Amino acid sequence: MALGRLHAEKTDAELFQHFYERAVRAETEQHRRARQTTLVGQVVVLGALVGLWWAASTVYPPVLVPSPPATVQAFVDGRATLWENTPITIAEIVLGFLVGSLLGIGFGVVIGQSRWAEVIFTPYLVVSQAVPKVALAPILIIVLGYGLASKVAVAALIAFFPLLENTIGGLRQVDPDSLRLLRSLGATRWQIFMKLRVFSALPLIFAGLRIAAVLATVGAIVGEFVAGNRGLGALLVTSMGTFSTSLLYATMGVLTVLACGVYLAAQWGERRALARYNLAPPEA
Amino acid sequence: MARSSEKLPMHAAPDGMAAITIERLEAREQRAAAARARRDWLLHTTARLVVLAGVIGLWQALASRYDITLLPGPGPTVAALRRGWSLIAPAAVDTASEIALGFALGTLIGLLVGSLIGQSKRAEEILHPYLIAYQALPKVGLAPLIVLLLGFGLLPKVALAALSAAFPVLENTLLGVQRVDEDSARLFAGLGAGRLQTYFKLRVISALPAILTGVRVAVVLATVAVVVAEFVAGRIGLGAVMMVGYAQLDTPLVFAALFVLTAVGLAYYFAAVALEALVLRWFNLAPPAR
Amino acid sequence: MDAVEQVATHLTNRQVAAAERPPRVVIRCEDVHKFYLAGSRSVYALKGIDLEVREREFVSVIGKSGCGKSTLLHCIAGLLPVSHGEIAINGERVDKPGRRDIGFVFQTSALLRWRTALENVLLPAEMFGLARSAIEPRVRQLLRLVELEGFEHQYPNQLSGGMQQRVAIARALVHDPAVLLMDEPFGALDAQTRETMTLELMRIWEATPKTVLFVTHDLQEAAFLSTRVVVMSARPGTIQAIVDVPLPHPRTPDLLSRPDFVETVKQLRQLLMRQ
Repeated sequence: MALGRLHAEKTDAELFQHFYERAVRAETEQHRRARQTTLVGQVVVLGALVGLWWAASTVYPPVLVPSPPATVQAFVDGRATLWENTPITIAEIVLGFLVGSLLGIGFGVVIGQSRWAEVIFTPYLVVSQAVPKVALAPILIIVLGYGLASKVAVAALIAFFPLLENTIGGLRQVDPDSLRLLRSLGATRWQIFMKLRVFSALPLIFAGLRIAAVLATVGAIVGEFVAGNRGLGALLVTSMGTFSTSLLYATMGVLTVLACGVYLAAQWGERRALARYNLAPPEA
Repeated sequence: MARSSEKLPMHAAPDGMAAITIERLEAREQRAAAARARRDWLLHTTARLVVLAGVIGLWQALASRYDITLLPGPGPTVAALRRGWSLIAPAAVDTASEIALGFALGTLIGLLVGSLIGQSKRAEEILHPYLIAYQALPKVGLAPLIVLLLGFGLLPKVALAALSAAFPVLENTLLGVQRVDEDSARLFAGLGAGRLQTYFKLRVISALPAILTGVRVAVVLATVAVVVAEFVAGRIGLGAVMMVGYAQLDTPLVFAALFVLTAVGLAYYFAAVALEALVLRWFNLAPPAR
Repeated sequence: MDAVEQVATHLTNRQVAAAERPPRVVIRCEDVHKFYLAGSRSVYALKGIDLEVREREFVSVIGKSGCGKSTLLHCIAGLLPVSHGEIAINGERVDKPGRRDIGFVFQTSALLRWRTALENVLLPAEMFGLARSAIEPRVRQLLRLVELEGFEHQYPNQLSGGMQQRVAIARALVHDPAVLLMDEPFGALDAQTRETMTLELMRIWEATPKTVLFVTHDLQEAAFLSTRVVVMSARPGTIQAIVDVPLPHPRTPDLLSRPDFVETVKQLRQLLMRQ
């Protein structure tokens, strides 16, 4: 107890100041060190990944693992092909997302309005969660051909379900007190729907849209795998078949960037939309 | 809810009518409610079957308008199932094994890595952007690369399934292991419990509901991954059979394989749901609110 | 483990034993200050706390919400580090949690959902590396003490709030700590259960010679249970006053209407009002 009795020596304000300064100093120091460690750690991990890749490329033949520089070279060499195929995939994703989302929300609203319909369709919804919808890709391509339509259909099909589910769920979880309030004000069914249910459902619908964006990407890619003519997915399959491994890796890089872009855009979109209406994100 | 019998005041009852007691009224209500529930169930199930029949009818109607190579009806599909059985049956076994192996491997990896990362806030922060990238990339996009590296057999499918299944389990384990009730954490700290003790006796068990939800998602993702890998690689599995039918324009075969595939996927999903219920009951943990 | 036998000890034995030994200081807080930053807020929770709790005392700590009484308890348990000053239990400094001479009871009971009552009470023994076979008889005895005999294999969700807290108390006693720290243990219970539990706690304390530090916001509860009541000021928390409660033991419910008891409660209330 070398420090002696603090409160006997100093006034209240001095005591507060003393502790405050010490705490702030300790905390800023802690934060600084934490941020440093984090940054260093992230760079180390990245370096390790690239290093591992490079090491693997020296051990394995280039037909399996091309080196990073070779991949970059392939990217440069193949930029025309990449430039040609990327917009196709993007178009499929966007269209598939739009079609699937609109249909999902539309059906969700219709089914959500009727307790009957909801009860009847619920088991089918649950079952549909377990069915791998990508498996329908070959059939959709047989029916709709090799063009854009079939890939959009696959993407839309996969994007449809989360939105259907979330719309139904969102419309159902209306705050009962708000409902009573509107009823006591004599609101019609339509008014209740427009002024209350829609907004209660928004958080889940926005979350559904975020999920649908990612799923539409999956659908587009898988459709291209099966059809194999145009788009980044098709490029992946053809370069796999011809063992043009460097091009495969380069295309993977582009696809990764695209997919991350879609993901981040969807997250950002959801956050902005929620903020616009001052809503809280739905429980995970 | 037992209540003592209270006789309601009433005039002299003619014809030997039984006295009205609260218990009798309760019993009557319960019987009525049970009857209502039975009637509802009957109604709903009938309606669902009607919907199912309607869908099949619609399918038949559409199929009759189009060529068999474009849209085969229920009849040709069943015929294809019978005729292609020697192809479909072993393929189903292959697909089922791939899903099981990939799922198991992925779940294990997800549990281990999720638990490890969950031990350190620093580790979580460092790996955060990489985890986001891993989440954002549709694992199915890796199929051609994995097939190139691992060949056309069982291995690439299992690998892709494991990669897909790992993420939901990892994420849910990570979250579950960290989000422990404050007082319970203080309890363990107050008893001087070490990291490992706290992990095994508290964190991992209290994380089970979240982990099992992740496991349920993982099963579905593993199924999807296996299907896509079979599309890309072919050779074995129901997806490969679908590709064979697709290439030979034998659409009924594609449909038949699709139905079997759906059945396999459903079986695994319900198995996962049952597992979840079992484990939660064993540990006496409340089921997660859906 | 003397305590196993002492579980059935009566009041007079305890008084005689106490009279034979001078009461030593079990908990000592010297010039304790606690300051922390919570996001953008700065909280000066405890200021210059000097406190001595002697053997077998039952000391309550009361004060308005936010005055730091829970923080004080957490610091004494070693769950929170102090910004200045020293805390010692049984002569040894407290600088980290995990001391075997402390038992802690939380407001939320903090029972593990997946363990039966028996298994929950066994937890501290597991932590301290004691063999289950050696401890189990003691666990059963403790559950009998808290009047939960027959409920050993029930899960927490099958027990009422009051019963859960009894399991928590048994758990806090299983490793025979010298000190019992209780943080508003009856705060989450309804009024009737709280009354029952207060009497229960009194009975348990009289059967086991522990030193108890008890945080509560209920003045009657504090006065009824304690030998001394510490009244804390609003934040930053200091010790405003320490009130002796020289009422006789055993404390029985008819005490509540005694004029000197009522007077004590009134005194406590006045001290609290004066913020």
